[in-house]
Formats: sequence, structure tokens, C-alpha cells
Amino acid sequence: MSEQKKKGFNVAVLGGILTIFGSMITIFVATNVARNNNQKEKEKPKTEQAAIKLENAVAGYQIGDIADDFSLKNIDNKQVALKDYAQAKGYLIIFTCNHCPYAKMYEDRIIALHKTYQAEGYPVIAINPNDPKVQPDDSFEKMQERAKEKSYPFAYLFDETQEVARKFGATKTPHVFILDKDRKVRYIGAIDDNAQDAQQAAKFYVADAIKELQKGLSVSFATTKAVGCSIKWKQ
Amino acid sequence: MKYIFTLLACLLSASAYSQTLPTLALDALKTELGRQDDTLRIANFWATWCKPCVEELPDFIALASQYRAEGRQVKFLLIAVEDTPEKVNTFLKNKKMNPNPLFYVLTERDANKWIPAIDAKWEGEIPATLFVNDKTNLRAFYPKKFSHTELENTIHLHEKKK
Repeated sequence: MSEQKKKGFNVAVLGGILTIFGSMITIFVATNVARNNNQKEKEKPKTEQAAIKLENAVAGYQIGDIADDFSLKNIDNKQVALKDYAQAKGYLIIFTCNHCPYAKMYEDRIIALHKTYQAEGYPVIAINPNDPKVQPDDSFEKMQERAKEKSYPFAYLFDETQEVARKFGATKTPHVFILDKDRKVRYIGAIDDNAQDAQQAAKFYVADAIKELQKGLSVSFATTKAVGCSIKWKQ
Repeated sequence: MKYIFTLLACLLSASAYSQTLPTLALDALKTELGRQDDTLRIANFWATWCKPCVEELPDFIALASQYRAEGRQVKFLLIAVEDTPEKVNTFLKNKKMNPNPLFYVLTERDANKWIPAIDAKWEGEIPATLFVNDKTNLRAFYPKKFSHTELENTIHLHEKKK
């Protein structure tokens, strides 16, 4: 576990260095290209912006980090923060949305997770991080509609500024972060190992993680990977 | 006579769709991306259900045929993930896109295996594209949707680095 962590840390450091190095090359090359094209003023800020965006996307919480609380608007127009969940033993924070086919495949499973684990102190808090200008189906009004249609039993929050998604390091929908009572990040990844067919899923990552946390253990598979729709960042 | 026509029709339609979509196991993909030659490989990961992925496919196809005509050492692999060969075949047929020589379906279904094999920090969001040349240690990963110009510029960037 500690070795895995060390490896993860090394990879993260290396990734960081590579990102910075990559950005420098990108800026350098783009500047030269721009100079050649006599468009220096136009091109450079764009590339820098892109480089910054990339860095924001790769940052984010790692296992063991303490997440900051946040306050986002729920579909009932009321602000919701983690501190509002006085009885919570942890939080299932799921970045999800209306439009993404993968998020849709998991919609019923997210509802089921909340129904099972809220009573045990682990409520689902769903967050839509997408920019509705890029994906109109993910507007606040559409969120309200969908939540009503499916009678979402959990909070469905709109991360309008995308600050929460950036802070967490969310990259896709669905993307799960399990926090414990102290807001320590204990799990990052997928809900289970079969998006297409819930019946065929063999590994229930989120459910298993909660069971381990309930026993006071650390999560065996603390990070898992899965395909998802990239978050629609503001352009 | 009628039978001959039917047979002929069958043969013709069979030849029209004789192009098959190659499947790719993870090991085969790793081998392909690790070749020690002078070709810049561009592996794009997409799915039929992923709208932004589907939107950028024509740009990849257009640039691939342009570069082929120009004789540039660039190889495109448009790899469908989390999809079945049947679905991808139907999709390509509907879009009138030729499966060969660009398209593949990844057979590995264990995301915890294949996603980190492409990029250690990748969470699996698509579209995503990897530019790789193992001989020059080039490995640049872009988990984003490309515009035509961006894609062209990025290829230029990595071609020059060779």
C-alpha cells in the first residue's frame, strides 16, 4: 500500500514535471509559429490559457487529502454544503450529468446507492460540473426536469463555476469521490466494473469501499479507472 | 437464372462489406505503440456513444488520407473502446466510413488494465488521443476533443520533435 502510494506520488511528480515541461515546449513552439505567422499577439495568450487549463485538469485531490467543504445550488434552489449533513459518516460525491450516455447508464445505480447507503450515513451528493453553453442538456433547468422525472432522492447540485470539479480533479462523468466524516478522500473512481450492464458487473467498487470504511479499514481498491464523458469545461 | 442473380447480388454485397473491422487486444496495442521505427503514431480513443468523439472523427479521417497522399510517416489508429465490433461496424456503415485502414476495436474490457497502460494519469474520459513514437521517447497524451486546426498543429509539433 505504502509502496503503491510512493509509486503514485512519483508518477504524480513526474506527471507534474512533464506537464510543466510540455507546457513550456507548447508555449515556445506556439510562440515561434505565431512569430512566423506574424500573429504573435493573437496566438500566445490562447496557448497559455490552454496550458493552464491542462494543469488544472491534472491537479486535484489524491487519496488521503482532506477535501474542502463547498456550497452549491441544489435543484430546489437551496444551497447545499457537506456540513449540512449532520448525521453523515461519509459522503458519496458523484460528478454526473444529464446528457452523458455513461452517466445515464449509471443513473439507476446511483439512485440505488443512495437508497442503500444514506440510511447507513453515506448519502449520495450528485454534482453536475458541465458548462450548459457547451452541453445545453446539462442546464440547471434540465437538471431540475431530470431529477423530477426520476424522483432523485439525493441532492443534485450545479457546479456553475466548475470550481468544485477542478478542486476535486474530476475529469469525467460519472466520477466518484468517497470522503469519510473528516472529508478525507478515501476512494476515487468508478461505481462498478460494468457500465453497459449492471447485471454483469462483478466488482462493486463503491459498495465494497463503503463496507471497508464501515469496518474502519482503508479501501483495498482506492482508485479505479473507467471510461466516461469528459467534463465540458467552459471555453 | 433468378438464383444466379441472387448469388451475384450476394457476392457483390459481400465484397462491398468485405472490409472487416480489426479487433485489437491490449498486448497487440502495446506492441503497435512500442514499435521502434520512424512513424509517428496517433491513437485516438473513442466510442460510438460519445458525441464529441464522433464529431472529431472526420478530422482524423481527412488528415489521415491527406498525410497518406503526402507520404508522411504518420499512422492513425482510431480505437473504439467500451464498444462491440457489431456496434462499431453498424456505426461505420451508417456514417459511410471505411473500417480500413484506420479503425479498430479494443477487446480488453478491464478498464483498470488498459486505461493506465495508455496514460498513468488518465481517468478514462473520452475523447482522448495519444501521440507516440517509442524510438524517440515521444509520448504526449491529450484527454480532450481536437478541432481540425488544433489536431493539425499538434501533429506538426510532434512530427518536428522526431
